[in-house]
Amino acid sequence: MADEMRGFVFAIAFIIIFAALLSAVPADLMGLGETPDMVTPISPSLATDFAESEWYVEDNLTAFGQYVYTLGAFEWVYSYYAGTMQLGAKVLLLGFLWLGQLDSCEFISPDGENRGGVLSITEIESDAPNGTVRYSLFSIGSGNSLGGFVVYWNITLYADPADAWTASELYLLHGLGLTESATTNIGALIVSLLLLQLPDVPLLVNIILVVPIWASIIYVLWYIIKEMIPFV
Amino acid sequence: MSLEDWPAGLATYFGINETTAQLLLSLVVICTFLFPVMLLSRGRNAPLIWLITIFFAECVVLGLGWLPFWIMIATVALMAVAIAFLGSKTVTGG
Repeated sequence: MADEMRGFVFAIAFIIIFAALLSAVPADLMGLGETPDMVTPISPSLATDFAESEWYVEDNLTAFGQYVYTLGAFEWVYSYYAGTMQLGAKVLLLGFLWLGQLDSCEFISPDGENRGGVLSITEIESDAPNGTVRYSLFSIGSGNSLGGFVVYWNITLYADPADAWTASELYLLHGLGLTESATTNIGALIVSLLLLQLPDVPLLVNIILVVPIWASIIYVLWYIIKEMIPFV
Repeated sequence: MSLEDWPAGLATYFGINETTAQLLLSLVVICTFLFPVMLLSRGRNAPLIWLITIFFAECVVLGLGWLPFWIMIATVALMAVAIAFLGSKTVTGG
């Protein structure tokens, strides 16, 4: 009986202490190691506040001119057609079913000009006299911030961004800043840990990490139910 | 060369892959913190003190991008087990 009681106290204490300690870990620590300036040359001033990012070039696009990637909590679809580009987050039905609907982004230039949901290469050229421009992304539907979108190319090699695009050397970088993701990341991390969906973690490691937590939760539930039923 | 690039430099120098270099350097940093603490701390609660030291050392190497984040989760889980074990023993009088 005393052992069961001790097990109950241990399980409760373990769950609470684990959640508290994990929440206390600075979320910024998750973002380092994959800053955009490590994967491709870019002015650090453009990238320093990105916790996570995805970059791509024309070569990464499918035959239909699309590139799909996961960034933050969403799956994104980038589309290119005849000198224009669009970006949107997949809207999933019931959390997993995608019927083709997108939460499209509008591109706001550094000068504050709203380029709308369709950004053309011509607009990029006028916004980026030095070969780099960083647009702020906002959801057309909700107005929420969806990070930043950086376009850059080597201006000494290609005066025109259209030429850089054709040569697959017009780099597109979509980044989410620390301020946008840091507060939600630890919460999302705990949930993904419990659901065996930790990003960039082998499944076996995830299982090893989560088994004690689930075992504790089950033990606590079992103990409470047992104590509530007098004849067990 | 910035601190974040050290693993890449070490990997190039020794001809090993970058992950191994990251682990090696992380081990050096963690042991630098841990060994003096191990030497100084004695008694029944010493492992908890070691775990806390490892936690802080891991914060440093994680901040430098040398270790994956799940290592930190594993350490946090171990710390929680150790603290909960001590706590439950104290509360239940074991």
